[in-house]
Amino acid sequence: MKDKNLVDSALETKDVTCVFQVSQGFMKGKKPLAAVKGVSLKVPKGQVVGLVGESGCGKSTLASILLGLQAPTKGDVLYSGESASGFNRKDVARRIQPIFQDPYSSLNPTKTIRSIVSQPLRIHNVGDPSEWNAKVAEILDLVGLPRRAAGSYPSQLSGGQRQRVAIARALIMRPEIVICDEPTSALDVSVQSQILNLLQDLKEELGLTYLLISHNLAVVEHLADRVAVMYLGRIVEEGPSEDVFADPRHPYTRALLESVLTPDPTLSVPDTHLGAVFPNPIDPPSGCVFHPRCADCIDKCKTIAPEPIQDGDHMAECHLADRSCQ
Amino acid sequence: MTMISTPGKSFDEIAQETLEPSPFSKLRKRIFGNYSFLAGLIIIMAIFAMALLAPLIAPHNPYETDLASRLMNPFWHEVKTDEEHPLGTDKVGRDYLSRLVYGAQISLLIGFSTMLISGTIGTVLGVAAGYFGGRVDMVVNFIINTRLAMPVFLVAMAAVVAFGASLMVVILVLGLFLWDRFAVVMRSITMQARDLDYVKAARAMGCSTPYIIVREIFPNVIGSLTVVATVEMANAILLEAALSFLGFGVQAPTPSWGLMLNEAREYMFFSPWLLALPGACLFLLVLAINLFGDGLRDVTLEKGR
Amino acid sequence: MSILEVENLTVDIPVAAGMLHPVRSISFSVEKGETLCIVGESGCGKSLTSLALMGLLPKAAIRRADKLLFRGEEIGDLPERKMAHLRGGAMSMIFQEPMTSLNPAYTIGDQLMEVFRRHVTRDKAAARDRAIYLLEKVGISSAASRLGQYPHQLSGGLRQRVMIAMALMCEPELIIADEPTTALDVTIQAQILHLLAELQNEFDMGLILITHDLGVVARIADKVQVMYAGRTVEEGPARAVFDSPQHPYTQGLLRCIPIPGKTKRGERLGAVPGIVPNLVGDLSGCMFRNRCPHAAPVCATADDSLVTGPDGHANACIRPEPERVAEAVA
Repeated sequence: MKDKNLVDSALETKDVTCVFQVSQGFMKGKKPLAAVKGVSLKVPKGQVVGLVGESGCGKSTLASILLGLQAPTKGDVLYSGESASGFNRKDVARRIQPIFQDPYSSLNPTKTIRSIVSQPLRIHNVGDPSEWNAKVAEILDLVGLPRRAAGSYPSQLSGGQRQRVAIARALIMRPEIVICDEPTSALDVSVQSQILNLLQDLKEELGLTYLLISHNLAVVEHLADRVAVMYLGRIVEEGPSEDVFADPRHPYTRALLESVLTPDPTLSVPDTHLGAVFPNPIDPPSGCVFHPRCADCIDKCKTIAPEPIQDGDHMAECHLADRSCQ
Repeated sequence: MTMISTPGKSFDEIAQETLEPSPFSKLRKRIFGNYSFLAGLIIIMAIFAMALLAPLIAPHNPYETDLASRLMNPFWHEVKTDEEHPLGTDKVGRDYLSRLVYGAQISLLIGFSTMLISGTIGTVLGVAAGYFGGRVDMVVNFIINTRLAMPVFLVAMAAVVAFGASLMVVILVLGLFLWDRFAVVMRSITMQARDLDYVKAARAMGCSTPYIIVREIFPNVIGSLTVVATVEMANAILLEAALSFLGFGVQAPTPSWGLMLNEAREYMFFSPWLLALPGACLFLLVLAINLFGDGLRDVTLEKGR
Repeated sequence: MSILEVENLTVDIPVAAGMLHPVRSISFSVEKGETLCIVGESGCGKSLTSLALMGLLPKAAIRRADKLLFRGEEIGDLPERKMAHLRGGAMSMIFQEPMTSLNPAYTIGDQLMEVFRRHVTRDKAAARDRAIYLLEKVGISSAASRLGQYPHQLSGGLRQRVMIAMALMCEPELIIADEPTTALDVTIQAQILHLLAELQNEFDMGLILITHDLGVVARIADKVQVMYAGRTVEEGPARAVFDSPQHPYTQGLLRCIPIPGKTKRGERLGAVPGIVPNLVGDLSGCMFRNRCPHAAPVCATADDSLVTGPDGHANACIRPEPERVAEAVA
């Protein structure tokens, strides 16, 4: 196995925490909600890291922080080893770009495709208007859209074509990292595979690094080199895809994997033993935050929060993951 | 470079099949299918042309009195008519047609300038509240509520008493008071637009906040803005007429439709047309503006997405 | 006797450009305790089919069917009042978004009991008992105290559980679930589907599940019906359809999804290029022909009715499998 320290990380977070003050209602004052709690994550150059977790686990907040849209309360984000603290918005934008889930709301309906795709060039004052058209044509070729599409409006395109436009806009400045936030979950099955293939081709062709946020574990397993599992603001398990999918150490990861419904008619719907109640993030459970839903919970879990346990390249935050003392 | 495996057909061909008509050709179709919008537009254009070309259209000077031909009847009467004055004259012998034509100037001037002033104030406040939220939103909401607690009509009358009656005062007072609907509507629309992914994408691209507000959000709220603007314009025209009728608005001898109604009161039973003609003009203009606004909403704000 | 038997159900909607044919002559039946999955992509007519069964189509839509038998009785011509009595009673529906299908102004207790009192008995205590019993059945702890809560106080997963409880209030014989788990997280999706399958078994109900997710279909369906552009292109027992898909559309769909353990990591996925055709005006031939790798001139005109094989596995491909294989070899 490759030593992970030898691979340069394109993106790294160091102990990033983000706390929101949430209003409790009229005249009730505010309470802190830690959407992201001390997350340290490395995204190696040229690789795909999958980030999975339920809605409300903090993955969208983490994505906002990485994109520079949200300042972390604590901690640091590093792009290719450089701290973002000295960067302005445009510096960050040149390094990292997003692709969103819903291709219907991610494109401004009042603008032409040409104007949408060339917008980053205008914002960053790259070249002059005569070059922009050529660059737009080039990137449309790259994402598999006809050049004629440049003159049309988003409402004239299908969902898959719009997602291609969104990808073109993200890539026209040739960023190093792309955050794909559920890039296919709003699309039809037959279109999904085309977008996934495209993302993969572009990665090879342009040497991109992806952070792939998705709830579709089959997609993550298919594309990702490494996987990070998030639960209530923490990364509870992280490691190479093969390891995590073959040998999940955290009970939450196991539940997630059990929940994946592969199209196998010989199997029935699994019982995940997770319980029906999702904890309130404003008032998280004591000890290990997962313990109220955990089938393997022991007494220790209710009082003591587990420390990350590193086993080679594979980290898990669970008292029971420590194989050495079992 | 081929990115997609497309047996049988190239992506280009498939895209050609999917390319719907452009939004503009669809818009054109909706405009010409919307009769109330077209009717409103035509009447407004007609009144606008009348106001603009008043010196050419009006047969007389609207201020010129001629006591010799007071209260002449309009052309459809049998007696006491005059070829010179097709719509008759008022109590001091001014040509009624000319006064009606010039009255359009006053109404449109009031309508447009009030709408511009209130639209600017309301849009700035509403967009700021909607985009920034939090404290800004709280402050703007407070200002809106304060404004809503004040009766426009009474305050306008008080202002006229305090500063003296003039066209300028009426425009300023109405302009400073009719912005609330702009603010409320702009606030809620901006709030919705702010959370859309394309705004997020623009921020992630490094766009500045003013750029995002002006270039990303504004084009998408402009439809609703014009609809509110038409409503407020009609409102301002009616308020001016009401103020002038009560003597708190435009002062004599300016030819304002509201003022003409006031002056016609005494002759209501013997010369009802004096009352009916400016009333009909007001009615027609306000109706046209509302038809236009309603149609505009149907035309610009597509159903669904 | 089948709970529901549908023969040649057709839905037409007049639009500006002509007549839209979103559902054309589809037939199916559901037995007691059986799960039928209708699967297809957006625009294939699966949701309109479910609305047509419930008599909930938009006003402009025209529904026709040779047979629409519920418990052996024709319901195609029932007056709205009688249909309303069936809905929520013997035949109930679960929608995709539980937030919009629960009324935010009433407590969940009120809403659960209201259904029961309208359809079964006015007895308030009996309604309350039934509500608590079912909330516990769907895995909601301390059910009695939950009755007083409003929908916004519950998470998405809990709301969908409440929706299921509500659908079960009047002991329905048939449940129609339209994408019941699409808005939910994977873990919750698995839980809800598990629950649905369990309850269906326990109460011996017929279940029609409408979804676009092939994984869900494979795990829960007894019978599968694949829809494309308003037509059934393939139907049969779930095992047969997944193990040996026969229609090129079904085959294409199954190649599009990465299957852990089967598709290699990073391998290119199959694709079904192109888009769904316009369904306005006169339609003929196979609707999939413009995206089909095996399309031939005959596909534009021939009859695209289902041809049933020996094991009840039917498909609507105009060109028989051997012909397609021979072509691929050549």
